[in-house]
Amino acid sequence: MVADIGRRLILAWGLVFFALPAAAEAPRRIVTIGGALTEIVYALEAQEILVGNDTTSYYPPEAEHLPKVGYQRALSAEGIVSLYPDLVILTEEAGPPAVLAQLQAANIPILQLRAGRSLADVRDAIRVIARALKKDRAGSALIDAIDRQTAELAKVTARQPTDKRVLFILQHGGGAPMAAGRETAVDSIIRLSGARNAVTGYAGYKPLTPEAAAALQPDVILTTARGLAQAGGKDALLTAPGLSLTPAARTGSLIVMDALLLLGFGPRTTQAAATLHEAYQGL
Amino acid sequence: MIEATNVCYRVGATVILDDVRLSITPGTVTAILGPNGAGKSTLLKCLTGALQPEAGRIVLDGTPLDAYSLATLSRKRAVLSQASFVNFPFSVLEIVMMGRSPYIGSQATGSDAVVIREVLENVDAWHLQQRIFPTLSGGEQQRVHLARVLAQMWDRQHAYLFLDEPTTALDLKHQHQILRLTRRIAQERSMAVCLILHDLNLAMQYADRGVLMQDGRVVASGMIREVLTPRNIATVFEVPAQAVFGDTMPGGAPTVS
Amino acid sequence: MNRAAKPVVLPFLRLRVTVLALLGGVFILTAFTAACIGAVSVPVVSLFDGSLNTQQEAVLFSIRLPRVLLASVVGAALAVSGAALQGLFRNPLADPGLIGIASGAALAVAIMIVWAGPLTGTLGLYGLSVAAFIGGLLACLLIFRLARQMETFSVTYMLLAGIAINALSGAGTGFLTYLSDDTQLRALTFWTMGSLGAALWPTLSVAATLVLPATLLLIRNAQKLNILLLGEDEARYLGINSEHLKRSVTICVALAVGAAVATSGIIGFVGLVVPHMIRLTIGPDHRLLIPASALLGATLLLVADTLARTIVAPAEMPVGILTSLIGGPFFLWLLVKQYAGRFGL
Repeated sequence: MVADIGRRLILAWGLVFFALPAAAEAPRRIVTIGGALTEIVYALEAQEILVGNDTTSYYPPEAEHLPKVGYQRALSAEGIVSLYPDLVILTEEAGPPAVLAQLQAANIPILQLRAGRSLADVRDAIRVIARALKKDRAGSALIDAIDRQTAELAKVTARQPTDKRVLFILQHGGGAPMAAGRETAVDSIIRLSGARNAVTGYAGYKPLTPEAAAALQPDVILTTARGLAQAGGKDALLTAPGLSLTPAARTGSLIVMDALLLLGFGPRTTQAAATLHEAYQGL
Repeated sequence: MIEATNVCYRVGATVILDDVRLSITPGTVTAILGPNGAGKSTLLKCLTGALQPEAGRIVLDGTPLDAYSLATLSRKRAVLSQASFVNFPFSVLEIVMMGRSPYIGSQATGSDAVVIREVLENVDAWHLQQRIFPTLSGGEQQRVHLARVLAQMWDRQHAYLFLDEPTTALDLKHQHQILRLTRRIAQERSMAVCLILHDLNLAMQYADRGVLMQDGRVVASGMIREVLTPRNIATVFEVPAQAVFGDTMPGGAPTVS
Repeated sequence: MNRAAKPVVLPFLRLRVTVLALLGGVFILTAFTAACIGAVSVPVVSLFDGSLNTQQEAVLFSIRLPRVLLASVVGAALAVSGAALQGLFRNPLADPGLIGIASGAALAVAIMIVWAGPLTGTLGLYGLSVAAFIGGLLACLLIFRLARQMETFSVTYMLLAGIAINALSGAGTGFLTYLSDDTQLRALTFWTMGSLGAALWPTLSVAATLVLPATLLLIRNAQKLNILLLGEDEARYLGINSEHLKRSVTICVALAVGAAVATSGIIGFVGLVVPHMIRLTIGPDHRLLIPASALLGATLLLVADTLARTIVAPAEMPVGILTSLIGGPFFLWLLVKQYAGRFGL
């Protein structure tokens, strides 16, 4: 029954292989949905079989030139099928669920991964994708490289410890800014960079009220380039009600990073954490 | 024959009808008369079954009114309400056709077509047949509604026709034409016509019987000339009146001077 | 009296057959076209000579056909509901979206999602449909309660009631977004946006088993709805139990709208635009208006959805944006006409 596929899509722990082609052949046309997954495919140097991706895939810049199948949460089954992929790689964030069921019904193999929130997730994703693309060796090399960078970063952060408390603000659309709590991608990367998340009281994202912002007293405000533009630039953000009362605003400690680099949890995550760490030193 | 006895109706603490007794006989035109707020429309609604009286009995042809099904009732009596507001672009023919709905499933048959033509001609609205109803003038709309109500009873004998102020929007010529028509069908088809009128001269001229109401009570009822005496008019309407006898009038008509 | 009167013959039956055959033909043509165009092209001839390749076959049977049929069923449901509501409220501006029935249904769906978790499968869809039905019904009853206070239910009053109900549902949905986790949030936005992209065979069967009986029941009540337009008292005088009629029409509408909202979210203005187009061209008789609205509604939503999934292919835009783009200005035009003091159309 087609409908039951939806239920089967509920992810078990970690990650699952999902209806991988039984054949031992490597896929020839793949579509990636999710910026980090696209980055992994490029990092494995498998880009020649990449025939499409989604709007969150904009790194490396060449990825921009491929056909876009829409936003990862509002996919169109037919759009994906029209690219004739023999493998679609996506995360649990891709949807709506019915579209995945439609892809199943159209016999399109799907590889679904956990949305990355830690370096362990990145390693797992690389390993699984590499195996699916028959690029196991490149995968191991990539994981080794990441491990080396991570060890390097750990040394650096141990040498130059920081006691900064970082508040990450996500601003999109006209709505209230959201602050990242525990169990978020950004929480992991802040820890990786040697600092602490200013928010410890809740998991996930919550709207940030002026009073909450003042009470959190962050030393550093971290946001994405797009978010800063939405907020109206650095001055507007640091003089916003509540935020203006924080140590971060007093010292002008604002770090701006690309959203995919910061939140994507792909091959560049360790670099992103290292960049963050450097940024703290310059504040 | 409709016989109402001890009919009472109340809205909250306000008594609208108080111990009303009246009868409506086939072959006659009965006019319900009285000042504003006397309870005329409420009485009419009780007689048609639209309102359930709080107390009292209304008997239609020997059976209590509330024992009839809506469908049976719709083939026994037709009602013209005071204002029926139609906001959709039905044609005049379609509106009148609805008057035949108690008899037909959904399709017009030949004899229905004849009925529709006759009623429209009788209310002087045949020339309006293709017009869109909401674009008609008030008087034209009233005549078309009347045609619809007539169509409902046109081929019946001993039927009942209730008309709530059928002449308000009509010009003088049509007022007389319509009332003459009701009188004629009452006699020809032994129909019982019961209407609410404000114009006492018209009532005097076309009604056989009258029911004069004041404050929810029947003040006088009987032959129209016995009801509309100058004295009754003076007490109920609080205006002086005198009887004027003319040659062309069917009887002496009291006129408000 | 019975002189050689040329009997009036209402050319109704002939007109009905002609109009429905014409609209039916246009619908079938549209459906075929919609089945053939899309991101994956399927040549018309190959539908008949069996020369489809496996990919085309998969797309056609697993993705496109359910979607084409769902668009038709939902379009018909919305248009028929609009036509019936306009008759019920004796008001040509009634529309399931405008007066809050759709948003009531969407709120109920949102409550279901947050409360019971994501529902999948046929049974889950029926669950959502039932929730949407109840939500729509409650919104209907609320409007009726307001309507009972007034002798005639004016356009202004009805639209104000609609604004209030829409605002309430919006607030309810907004509140739920704070309670919901990420997965639920995604499901919620899908239902408030309106899209036919989730069409699968089970989705279609849920929608069809609810919408078709409701439509047939409404067609059966068409002549009664005509007479109800004279007023509730008049309908009674003509032998119609108007309370009974109102109840059964309301239930049919809530069922159809509920099924539409549960399977494809809120898609606005179809219920307003389609019955008006039919009334303008053919007339207000519900015996023709309801089946014709069903066919035209199906056709129009099919066209809108085909545009939605092809304009920006391989991505797609929400079909609700397209229907609002056409419906919004149309609604404004109607409103101006109403307030210009003219009755009807």
